[in-house]
Amino acid sequence: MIVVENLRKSYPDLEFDEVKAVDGVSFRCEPGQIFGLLGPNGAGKTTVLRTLATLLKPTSGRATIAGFDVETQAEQVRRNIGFVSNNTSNYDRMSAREMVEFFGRLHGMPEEALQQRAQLVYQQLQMTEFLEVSGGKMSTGMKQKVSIARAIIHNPPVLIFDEATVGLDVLVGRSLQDTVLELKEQGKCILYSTHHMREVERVCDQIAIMHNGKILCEGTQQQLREKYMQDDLEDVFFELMDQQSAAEGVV
Amino acid sequence: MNWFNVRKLFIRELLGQLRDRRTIFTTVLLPVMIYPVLGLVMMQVAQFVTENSSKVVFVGQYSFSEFPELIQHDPTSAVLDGELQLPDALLSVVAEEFPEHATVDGVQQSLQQRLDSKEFDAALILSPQFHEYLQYLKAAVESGRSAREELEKLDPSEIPGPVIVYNSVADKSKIARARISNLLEHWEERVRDTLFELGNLPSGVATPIALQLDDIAPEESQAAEFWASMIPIMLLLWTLSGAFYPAVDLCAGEKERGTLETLLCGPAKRVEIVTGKLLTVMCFSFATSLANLVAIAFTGVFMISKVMPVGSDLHAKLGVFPGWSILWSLVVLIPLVAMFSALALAAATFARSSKEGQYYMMPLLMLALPLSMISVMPNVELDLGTSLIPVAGSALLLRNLVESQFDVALRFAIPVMASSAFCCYLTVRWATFQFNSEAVLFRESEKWDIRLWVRQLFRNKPILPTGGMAIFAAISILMLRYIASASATTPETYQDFVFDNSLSLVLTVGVPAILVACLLTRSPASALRLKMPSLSILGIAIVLPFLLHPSVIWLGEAIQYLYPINPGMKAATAGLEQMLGTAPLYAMLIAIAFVPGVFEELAFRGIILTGLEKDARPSSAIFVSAAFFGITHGILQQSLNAFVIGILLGYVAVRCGSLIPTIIMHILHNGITVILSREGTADAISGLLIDHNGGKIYSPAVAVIGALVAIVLLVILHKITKSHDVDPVPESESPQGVYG
Repeated sequence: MIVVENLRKSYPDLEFDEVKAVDGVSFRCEPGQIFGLLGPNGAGKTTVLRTLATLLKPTSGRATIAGFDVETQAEQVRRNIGFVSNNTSNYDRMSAREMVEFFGRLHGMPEEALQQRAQLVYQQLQMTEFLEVSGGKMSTGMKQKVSIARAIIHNPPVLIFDEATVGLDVLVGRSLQDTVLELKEQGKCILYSTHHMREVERVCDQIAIMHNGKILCEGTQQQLREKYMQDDLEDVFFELMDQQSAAEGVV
Repeated sequence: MNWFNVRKLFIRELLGQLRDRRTIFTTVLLPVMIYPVLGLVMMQVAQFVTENSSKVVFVGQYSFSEFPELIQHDPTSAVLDGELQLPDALLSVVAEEFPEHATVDGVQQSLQQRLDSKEFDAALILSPQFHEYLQYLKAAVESGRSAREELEKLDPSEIPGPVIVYNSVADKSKIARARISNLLEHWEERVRDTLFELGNLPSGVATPIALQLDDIAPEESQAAEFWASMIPIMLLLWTLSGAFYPAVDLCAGEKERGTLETLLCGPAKRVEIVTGKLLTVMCFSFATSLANLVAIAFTGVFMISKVMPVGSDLHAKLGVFPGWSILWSLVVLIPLVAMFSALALAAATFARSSKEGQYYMMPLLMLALPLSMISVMPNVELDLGTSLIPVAGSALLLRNLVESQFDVALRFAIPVMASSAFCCYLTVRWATFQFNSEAVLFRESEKWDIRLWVRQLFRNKPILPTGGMAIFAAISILMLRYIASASATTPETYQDFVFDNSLSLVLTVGVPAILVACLLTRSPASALRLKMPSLSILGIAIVLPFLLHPSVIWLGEAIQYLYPINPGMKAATAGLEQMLGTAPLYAMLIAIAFVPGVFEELAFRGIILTGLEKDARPSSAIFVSAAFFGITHGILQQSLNAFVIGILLGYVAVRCGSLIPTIIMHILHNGITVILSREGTADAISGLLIDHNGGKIYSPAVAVIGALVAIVLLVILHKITKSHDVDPVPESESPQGVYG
């Protein structure tokens, strides 16, 4: 469903001439699977996800979503994804209902289908109590629910969550993870980026650990633990970071 | 583009803005409230100003036994605390004796000191000699014929008239002077009548020519003059500011709030988003103009006529408001609204935050203000030339509409609209470009270190120049040309001209281009397009200037017809032309054909066009490089001509990927002009010429045939050359700091 092949994105930089934000990243994510991108801040996760959401153009490499190329078929790609990030906010001067239904209409949903789908989404996300509250007056939890509702209103096969739990309290964060798991049950193909180990352990089937624009390792939790002979995923992560730092030191 | 999406986006943006109190306040409420409030304040201030009397000192005797009084004691005048109050003349007079044995100079000096210490606003000296002179005049007039001989003996410079001591830098003193002069003028009339009576002359002799004016301007146009000059400027400025606030909120504001990214990853295309936002901004800009016009009309129709008494000074100055009919002049505003909205949208998209967006308002205003001020300049009228100037044409058209000069307005409405629509198209393109640029949309604050930047510039030179380098070269050339022309002296001999002109072109145009190519790029030859083209291209390049020369000359004629060269400049260049006419041909060919042909091409079709082509589409690069080429020519008429030629040369350079053909074309074109301007040389081709405005010009048939053959050659050139596809958004334009 999501196929990324040798994706690169670089920017000119005054100090280092060129910064390789993403440096040859490849992975696949299938329907009914949650693929976790784990990495520290600045690892290149957001750049990968923004490229998949067609906000940025790759410098080289290729990525397809639902068979559509992110560079040449951007519009079709956007119709097949729902993108939730801590950079995608809601309109302050629009109510939850207006916001969600505006995006549904933008996706070209017929009015009747939109209303049916919207009711389902509102119930699923327990939004019915604050449908008429405007964005500016919502709590962080409400805002996050509206963001998710906005992203899934057109029932896309692929969902991308970019550090969606940043700034949320434990309760709201947990509820978001539950929603993601529910969406997985519905057969969605989900790409989930975070820098929290516990989140990855709880929701992701397949994990890729990113650092300095590269994927250092990829596999299921079990595979990673076995490969690096660590019981805890966090230990795997630190082991990899240490190896990476040592390798960079040698270079 | 999906118009359903545009409509949905437009409605959303409009609702969002309507729910924002600040936008509503600045775009609708502020303009509606400002005029009545301003009107009231102005009236209050005006009353305050006019009720203040000027304090003046009259030194010397101001009553004259056998002449009318200088001060006519009307019933309202009174003496208060030793000051004579003259409410009608707005003067408060302190009378002083003329000191005994003092001279006028002495009194003047002491009054100057007292004026400096602000004791009074102005002073009038009426010396005893002036009194004697009046008596003498009276005696001379009474004595009949011999009086003339007596009067003729007097030297006018020795006549001891009244002296006003005042300070022209201080406003209060200037007003006091005007009031005293006014008093003296009225008194002079009465004195003259008295003298005529004494000399038994009819009073009509004093004004033997009674001039009568017959103004054919319709009454409504005369009365609306004040409004006609004010309304266009007010409307234009409000149109811009009305566009600016929503634009900043819709672009920079959304970036700041993070909602732009939400929209961008949604299903709508960028162009649909831009169009939706543009329509919203236009709506507000238009609403602001409308609100303004209604507010001006309300103030004009109701307040001024009701509050200000008819016949008062201020009422006369403001004139009659042109009435509600001006509302239809809003139609003129539509293309302007679109243009300003797109400009504001592009500037606001570029900004990272609302605060940064507000900073861009000033440069835009500075651009629009001088252009709209053209409409109030004396001697500037709406004609084909002025109607084509962006903003200014619309302001003049508005002016004519407000003045009810509908015939003129209708005649030039189409050129004004066409010019505005073209500018509007360019600005919309620019706004869309901004919206498609990753570098602009995801720009984040980054630390800019000049040391690192310079190091980077020299260490990692690109093969070809970048757009930034091209703009840098162009602006450097413009500035150097400006300095050179400001410091240039008029040459006295042709040798001076050839030397100065060539050296200045090499230093101000050639050297910057060559320096940028050599210092900042890895392949200076490619940067300057120094590549040998095929023989067939060379052949076309040699023939084209001969074929196109007649059309270019006619183009120059057309431009001069639209924008006539002012006579002062014509006279200034006539002497130079005469001198150059006698210079040897080789010298003129070097100075006018060879040096510009080589160095201007190196700069404009070399480094500038190559750099621009790397970062923009070839058509935009050609357009912008031609604009720079035009601007460097300094004189408007030459600039327009050079702009058109620049587009052709740019096209040839881009198609051939070589500068050699354009250098040949440039040298040949200028060379032909030089040769034909020589005495007698035009005779060789007299069959191709006709008489025109006292001189010779190519016959139109020659121009048309030449142009047609040239078009055929250009089509062949297009066929035998490959287009050099350049990636419109190259890697180097990508932003910094957007990685996660």
